Amino acid sequence: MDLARILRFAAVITLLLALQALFASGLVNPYYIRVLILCCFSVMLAVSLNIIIGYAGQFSIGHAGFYAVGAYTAGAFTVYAGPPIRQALPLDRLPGWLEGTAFLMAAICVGTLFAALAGLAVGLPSLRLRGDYLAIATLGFGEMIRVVIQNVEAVGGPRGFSGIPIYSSFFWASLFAVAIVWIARNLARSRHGRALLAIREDETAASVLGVNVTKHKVAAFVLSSALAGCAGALYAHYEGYLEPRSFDFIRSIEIIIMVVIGGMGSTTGAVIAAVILTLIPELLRGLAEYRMVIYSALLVLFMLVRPQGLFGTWELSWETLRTRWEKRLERP
Amino acid sequence: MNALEIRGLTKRFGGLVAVDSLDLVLPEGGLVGLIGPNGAGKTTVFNLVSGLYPPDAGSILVRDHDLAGHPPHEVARHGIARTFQNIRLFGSLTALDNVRVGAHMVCGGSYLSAILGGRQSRDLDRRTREQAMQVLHDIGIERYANELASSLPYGVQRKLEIARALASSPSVLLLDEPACGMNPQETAELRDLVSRLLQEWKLSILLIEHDMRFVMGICQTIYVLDYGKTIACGPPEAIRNDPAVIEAYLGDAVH
Repeated sequence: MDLARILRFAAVITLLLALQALFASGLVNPYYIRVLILCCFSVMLAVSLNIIIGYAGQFSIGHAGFYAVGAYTAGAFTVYAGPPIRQALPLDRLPGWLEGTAFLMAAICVGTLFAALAGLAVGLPSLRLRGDYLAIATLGFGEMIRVVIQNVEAVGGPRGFSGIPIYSSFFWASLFAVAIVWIARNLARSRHGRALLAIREDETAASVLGVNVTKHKVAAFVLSSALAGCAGALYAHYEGYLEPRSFDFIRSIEIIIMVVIGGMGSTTGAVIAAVILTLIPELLRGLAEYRMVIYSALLVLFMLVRPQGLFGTWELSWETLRTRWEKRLERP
Repeated sequence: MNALEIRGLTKRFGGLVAVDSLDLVLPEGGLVGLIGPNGAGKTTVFNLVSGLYPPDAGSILVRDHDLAGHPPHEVARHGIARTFQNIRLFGSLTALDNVRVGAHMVCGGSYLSAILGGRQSRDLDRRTREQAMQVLHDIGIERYANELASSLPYGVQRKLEIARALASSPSVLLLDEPACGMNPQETAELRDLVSRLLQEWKLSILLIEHDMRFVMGICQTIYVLDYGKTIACGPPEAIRNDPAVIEAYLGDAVH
């Protein structure tokens, strides 16, 4: 770890903590805070889905399913494993916030792990084949997960899963949103990320260059699912209540629309589209029932006018800004 | 020592025998041509050697390893690189990134280090970038480094595909019709490039080509395929006058 990175990391933490302190002070309308936190969840989901759709070019339409796996397993962990752990360990000596944070971190690990396992179980058989098998398999998986949840009484069944302790806050949601963006960006800049782009462009050419196509596709899919699970765990401990309906097919489609409108393959685009598409229904509160109509119309419009999405595969970074600036200087 | 040795290689597509017990030897540092009329099975041979198709019989020996039936990424690990007849670049990546994908195997670095942006990963990334620039420089197309591959002129795309293959540090290079669609000047440049690959890069090259002057001019040995069978094999002069070859290309009417 070099100094510059530590400083950057510290700056992000300080900024988010400062915002958290401001929001906790009660000076900001809680509604705005809530919308901001929902934006963080959308960003996590869109950026993680972009890894498999945008980078690897494999269409997954069950992202909400992995989000649900993370949310429900993490929620079940704190609800059912929390009390025995509290009895076994002298946690009450810790300050309350620290105890909550410890449980949140453990729950995130649980949610991430289970979503990753689900990703492996779905991805391994379907990604060995070429073509749209993944889309069909993930579609089935997403619906299956929802049906399973609806029929498990322990997590509330169709009534929803309530009583999950609230440990998450703006700070954690935004910190993990930043972390997921950072992970996606690191991946894109590494040889593993480039291998994914190569697979998206031409699987055959990638394989003869020594890229193990199946391994990279499965790894990307597991990573993408794991990050969705992480977002789910945070969501469960932010909302305190989960209902199967919020993880249905429509939710998956919403996340796909964010990725497509942002530009498949651009993390920058995924972030911005996630924020915009979370704000639109809030701004158009009166038209809330027409949300999916507006989304669909937007999608049709984008496919006609700008099929590559807002940003195409362009990324915001110092490097791209510098090359753009240099090009401008070169021009007479 | 042979760089590549093919013994009894056979591939059937249903009732059609695309490649019929082919025996071929590519000596270390050698340049061997593979010619024949359209549909003779030349590209099938390349697809078999690079692992895209599993062969029905036969062996593909590279340094005492039999690669027959291995998947393409494992074949690549044994130092076999190839280009494609219909250029298959990664269109929406830059020329530099195309070459960097070529360096994928030799680059190293774990997945965890990559997603956490670890120092190891960033150092390797910088080194790969420099190596890729060097390859582009050696092939003479470094000024296109930041252009999208799909936007490059045709001749440059052909060279870029070779550069990408070179980045994987191969010992054997399979070139599938590299001169296809090139004008005479580009063909001359390509001929220089191929001889440099042999001398400076110490590669062994197996070449498919339709341009007879090109093949006859540079290959040491030529194999002629027709309907999957080897109908002739030898130095260019012998091939030129071989009655079976003339018949395959021009038909019986010559007699």
